[in-house]
Amino acid sequence: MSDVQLPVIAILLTFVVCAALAAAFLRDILSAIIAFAGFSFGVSIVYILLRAPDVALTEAAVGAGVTTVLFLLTIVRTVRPGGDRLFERIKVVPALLATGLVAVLLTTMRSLPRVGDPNSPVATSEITRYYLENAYPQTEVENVVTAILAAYRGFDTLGEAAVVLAAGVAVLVVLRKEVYV
Amino acid sequence: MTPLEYAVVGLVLVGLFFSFVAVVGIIRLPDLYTRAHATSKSDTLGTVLSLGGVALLFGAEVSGVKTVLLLLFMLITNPTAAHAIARAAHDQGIEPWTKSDEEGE
Amino acid sequence: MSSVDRPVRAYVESTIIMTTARIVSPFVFTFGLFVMFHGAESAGGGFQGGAIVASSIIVVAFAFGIEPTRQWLDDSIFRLLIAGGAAAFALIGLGAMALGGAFLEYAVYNISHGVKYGIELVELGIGATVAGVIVSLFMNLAAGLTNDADGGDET
Repeated sequence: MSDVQLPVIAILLTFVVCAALAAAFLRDILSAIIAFAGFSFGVSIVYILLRAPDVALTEAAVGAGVTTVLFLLTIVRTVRPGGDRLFERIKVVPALLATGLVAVLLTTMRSLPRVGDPNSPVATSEITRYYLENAYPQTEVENVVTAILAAYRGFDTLGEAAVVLAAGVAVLVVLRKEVYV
Repeated sequence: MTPLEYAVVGLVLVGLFFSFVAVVGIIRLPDLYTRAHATSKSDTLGTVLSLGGVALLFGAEVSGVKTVLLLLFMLITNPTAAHAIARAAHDQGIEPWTKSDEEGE
Repeated sequence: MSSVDRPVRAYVESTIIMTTARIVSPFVFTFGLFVMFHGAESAGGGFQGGAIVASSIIVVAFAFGIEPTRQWLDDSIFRLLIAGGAAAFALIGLGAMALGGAFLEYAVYNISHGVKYGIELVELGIGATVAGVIVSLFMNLAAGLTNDADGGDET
């Protein structure tokens, strides 16, 4: 990662963390949804800076775009909470539990490889080398991510599509029952 | 610096200025309609000028064409979104701010 | 879009919004298809492209009103898309097994660039499923709203 990118990522991460906290603690659901959309958007830019455009595109299209619309449609039927308080009251025990979990996870940070480290296990492993060398000759597809998703790990992707199908059908069955019967 | 770089920096700086004006407008203006007015004009101009600088930097490449397309998209959709928001607010019966509101309080 | 059979809280069309949606949504739709197909060469794929295609239809629904859009695009189209996309994916995989290869072994189809076309077809199938699910969710969530406006809050 170049020196220019470091402050940009630092600012973005600060924004993302603030947006996530706002989405969690804001009392008004509409504001929380907007904060969540901002969080998704910030995270997608972080993904782009970390050279993961496929993930960034998914996050921007689904997280910031479609989910926001679906959430908004859903909360139209709810009532806005009364009172003037901006934030939810924070309960002590869940807050302590969450902080403890974050602290435990942070202890593993030290053993993670640096971003872009050429000696990290992922970059040097046999499997990575195999995919990078053979993906184009074997599949004629330039995007290795797509080659792995649709060819080498096609069965996993079929599972993902089946999950989308099953979840969608299940939710639609429930929704249609509410609406039309 | 080459003339091209001067042009790019100039465009981005002017774009930044208009984005700043939009932010000031959102914070300082009193109600939804005046704020929508600030965002739709200044923010669109800021984004479009900055993207114009980016497009100049890319030149006549695929990335440059994509940036120009993005610029046109912003130019069309951003004011329309502001229009839609203001219209929805008017349908909801939100009254525009007038000078008397301030004096009344 | 006659004004007679309009529900109570119906959306009133705006020329500006309708014109913009008419100009923008075909391009967004095409961009979604581009992302689906071009996933082979650059960033993108079925999941992302499907979401973008669905959002182009959602833009149309916002501009022209949700009920007219529902009458224009029947629910059964999306049911077909959802089932057809997933079925296409599975059939491509099973077809390879029928021809004596492994599951999703595109090479056994014996077409030139068969692997690439196979991958693009699979992406298209995923995209159809995702787009169908998202638009159906949108339509069904929005359908409840207009019904509430008609029927009151007794339920």
